[in-house]
Amino acid sequence: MNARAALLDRLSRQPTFAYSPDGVMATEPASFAAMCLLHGGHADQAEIILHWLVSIQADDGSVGVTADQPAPRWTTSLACLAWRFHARLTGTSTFAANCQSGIDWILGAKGLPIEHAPMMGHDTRLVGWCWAAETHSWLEPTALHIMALKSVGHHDHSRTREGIQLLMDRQLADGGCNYGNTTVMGQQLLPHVQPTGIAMSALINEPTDSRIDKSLNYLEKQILAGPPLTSRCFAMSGLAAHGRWTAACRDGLKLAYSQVRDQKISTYKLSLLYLASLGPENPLLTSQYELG
Amino acid sequence: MPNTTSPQSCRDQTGKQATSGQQPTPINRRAWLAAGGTALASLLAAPVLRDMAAMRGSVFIARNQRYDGNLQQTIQDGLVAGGVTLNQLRGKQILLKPNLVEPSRAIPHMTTHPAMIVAAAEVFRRHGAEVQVGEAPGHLRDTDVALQESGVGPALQDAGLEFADLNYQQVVWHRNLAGCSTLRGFYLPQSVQEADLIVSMPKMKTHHWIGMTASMKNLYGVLPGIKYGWPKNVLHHHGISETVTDINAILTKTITIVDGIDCMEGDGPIMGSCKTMGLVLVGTNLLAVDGTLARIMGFEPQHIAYLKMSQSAGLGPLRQRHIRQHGESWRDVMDAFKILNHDHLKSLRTSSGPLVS
Repeated sequence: MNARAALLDRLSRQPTFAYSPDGVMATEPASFAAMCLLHGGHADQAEIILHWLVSIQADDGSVGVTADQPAPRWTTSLACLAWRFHARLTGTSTFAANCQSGIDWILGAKGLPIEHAPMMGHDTRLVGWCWAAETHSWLEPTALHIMALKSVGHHDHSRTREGIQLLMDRQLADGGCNYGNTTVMGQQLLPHVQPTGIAMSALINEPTDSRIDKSLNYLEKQILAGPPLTSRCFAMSGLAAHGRWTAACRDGLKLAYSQVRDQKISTYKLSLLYLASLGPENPLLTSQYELG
Repeated sequence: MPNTTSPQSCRDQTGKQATSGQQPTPINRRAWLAAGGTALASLLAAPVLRDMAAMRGSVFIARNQRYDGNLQQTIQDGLVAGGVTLNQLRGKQILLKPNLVEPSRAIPHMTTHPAMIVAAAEVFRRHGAEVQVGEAPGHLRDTDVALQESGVGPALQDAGLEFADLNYQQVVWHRNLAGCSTLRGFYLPQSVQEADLIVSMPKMKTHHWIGMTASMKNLYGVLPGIKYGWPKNVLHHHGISETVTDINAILTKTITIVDGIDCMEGDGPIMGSCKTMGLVLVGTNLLAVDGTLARIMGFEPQHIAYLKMSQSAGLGPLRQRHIRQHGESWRDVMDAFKILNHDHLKSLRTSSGPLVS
């Protein structure tokens, strides 16, 4: 059994999909796991997860972070991606209504703009998506919601375009992304791998821009430095989105396989590693353009 | 941009919102006990409890401290001076809460040093307590990055200490007792809920929005990102000072051990420069300790909005005469921290001090 198949085998034997080995079922890890199982040919098991997502979907179309926490709702983006991937692979419309309802919620959800913020370096008036209701727009939720919108063909929707503008505006001058600020009181903040990788994943097929190049260079450098698994997986996804699935990524992958082989790790990390191992074929990426 | 406006009002204990300009009704002893203070009371000597009831407190200050020094002895001395009855620790669950907001190997003075955490853990373990280290990093979703960059992960592994990622645990809702913000309540993770004692282990730092951050603001880091976001923008939108006060009002089982050895001045809490102070502070009342830290850093405590608000809410003493000093006197170690050259920060000073742009 090769390393990827071994990951899939481990995933397929899990009773719950959580952020930690002993954690409660949560929407983000469940959505990623469903995509892995679908990709690996375990549609029946994936559908159990997808139906669980349906069971926690609110009347307004949103899907909260866990079954007993219907808010925040940023995880609606991931549920939609998983439902849509099911439609692509199976050619069925089992979850089409749920996905549409989720997309409708996404289109109505907005981060709070700030009209006057002279101490902040980013354009605080751009509207993307927030982590929690009634707060500012931040990088990761904006990127995830853009992916969901692109997966259903909303590449040119005004919300998608403004979200892309926001992601570009939040690139640090030297490359990479912070969790969402660029400068505060004139001081440039620190770049981080995970938000950069997620932003680069959502910027797939967007016009070439030197800011994107700088951020990809940052990710390539960080991959070599050996970031922890979750960040490494998102970095690989971001690089693969822009044709930079290089030897460093493949080496990083091998190292990750060896690190997780005998470890008790979360299904969240198992799923992320499986998805990252697919390189340019990662469903988080292919979902965004094949139906565009 | 966070809401850093001056405090206007807090709710009283009946849940009624006080009108603008009124002082908040202090958390009374009955409410404190109902909220879980009895568990802490069992760990504190009688004089300390009398002090608490009289809105007084004490602070232990040790100078000439180093990360490779005998921190265990210092911390134990501080706990004893503060009235913690060490022989009551057996079997208790202790949660150490360091500051790992956005660790970077290039900026080690941003986060609580691993040596401080391990030393504190050893003191509690030596007295029979079960120790867990927990944090919900405010700016990083990948907590493994925080552990790796800070050096805390390997240190905990070497010491055989368990880490709890508070960002993703199951949560329990608690009513907002102080009502300084308009939030009805707060979600606390399981480890916080179950702990007999939470030890806030902050880094002594300036803060470019609110002046300074120490043991009280550090408790932002027990709130889970899965409910509040990365950053915890829900709290910012409801006012930093208001939510710091509210969170500290519901977390009744707290003491603090402050890493004041290599500190941060200037553009804190993330991008400032290192200022070596060589201090360790210990106290059972977080407001008393933070007020003392403010004085050491060159701030007027009454000008720091969350300190003033917490005093009004009855969370402890802020006036110098109400805070007993153990170890060094704060006056002997006072050394004004550089702050950014902005009016909202300069107004917090006791007198003119160093500025950076």
